[in-house]
Amino acid sequence: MNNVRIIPSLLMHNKKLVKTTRFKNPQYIGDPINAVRILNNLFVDEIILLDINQSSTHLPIDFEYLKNLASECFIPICYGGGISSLETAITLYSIGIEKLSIHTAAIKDLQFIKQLSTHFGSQSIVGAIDYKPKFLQGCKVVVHNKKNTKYTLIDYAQMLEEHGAGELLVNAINRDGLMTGYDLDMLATLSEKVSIPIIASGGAGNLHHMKDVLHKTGINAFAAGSLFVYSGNLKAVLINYPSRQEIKETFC
Amino acid sequence: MENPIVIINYGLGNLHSISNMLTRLNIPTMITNDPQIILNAKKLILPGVGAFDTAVQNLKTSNLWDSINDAVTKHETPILGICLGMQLMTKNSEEGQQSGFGWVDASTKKFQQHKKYKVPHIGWNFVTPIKHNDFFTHYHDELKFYFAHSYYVECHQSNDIMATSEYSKQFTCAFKHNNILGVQFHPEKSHQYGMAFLKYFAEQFQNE
Repeated sequence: MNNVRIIPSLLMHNKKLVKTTRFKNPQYIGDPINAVRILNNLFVDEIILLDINQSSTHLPIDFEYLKNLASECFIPICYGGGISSLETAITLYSIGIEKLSIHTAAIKDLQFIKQLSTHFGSQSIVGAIDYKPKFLQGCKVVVHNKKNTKYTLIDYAQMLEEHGAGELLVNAINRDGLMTGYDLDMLATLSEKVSIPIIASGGAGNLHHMKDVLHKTGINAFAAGSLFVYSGNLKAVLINYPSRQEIKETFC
Repeated sequence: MENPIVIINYGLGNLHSISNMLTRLNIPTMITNDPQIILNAKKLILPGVGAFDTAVQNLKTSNLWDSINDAVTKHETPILGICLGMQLMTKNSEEGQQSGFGWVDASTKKFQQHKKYKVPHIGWNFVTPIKHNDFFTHYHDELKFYFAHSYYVECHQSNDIMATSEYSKQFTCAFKHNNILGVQFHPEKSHQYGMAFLKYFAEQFQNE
């Protein structure tokens, strides 16, 4: 049976949809609500929506805006960006965001993951990890694209699992936007070390990149940004998603 | 307003997603934590996401437990339990110490960790109708729904099973017992299939 999850990952910056390369140079793509509406109509498996300047600017989350956005979405939606209190999480939940991606706040205090998973159950809590390979130090977990943390990727992933995260969104910063394929070796290693589902992210350029991950690692959830917002070699903006037939043929 | 479907608010569950989908179907809804409204409702939805014991405690401390139980057992109000809402309709759960409503002769169990089938079970999965019933066997498409759970329901009476799914093992993903309907998947997040299911509950289930 084909149980892969192919997940468009949308980046939002001041309520504009953008796409980055290696987490830099955000290019304007369009309107997030419109994009969610299109993806819903394309019947995608899930949507991940990350607000990339929320936690660094400490602006209050615009719940009304996210409520309008979520109401266009009859498929699961995961939101991340600036979730740092149980109250915020409860409000997001009540407006129709049933998956919460936690990044910065978990690095500050892993107990926050525990608090959220106790309240909502593990299946709603996604532990997000951004990492970069560092010379002679393995892969380091990074916040806000620049600050190294004390954690290595594997250790941190295991800690997130221990504290109750139900899924891991694992993002290879140095592959973001390049469309040259996922970080196969690291995903293979990581997949052996944790027992919760992993969502691979960073580098998807086509469905075969996803198939490579599935075959090498058993991971069956794939996030992709550029692949679903650009079309063609010149990267014209076009929100798109493969047909069921195309997915079936690739993965069977 | 036409008699709305009453969605029970006890602090757990994505209420807005459920009412949002029903609204899109032009089916009136009301979200409430008022025991009296629950007692007089035409149809009820018991949502739920989170831990079993927390849910039981929330329902009891907010004085909803007895009114839901009376509505379902005395008034025979049709009710749909979603995810944890379905599990609460069983007798007990391996997740907690508290007893469930026990309307359906079933228990809630935990998935065993499996290398290929990681827990929680998250994602879309196919659904297989088990016996002749007015929704699953009448649907001529390949049915799939969105799941997100670590526990599953095991029915003790095979007659109650409407449909099953497979994730490392076969489990009951939908049961029906008189006026009681429970589903493990999230119809409110299952796009066209979820819409068809909620429409069935609103317009056909127990509408003689």
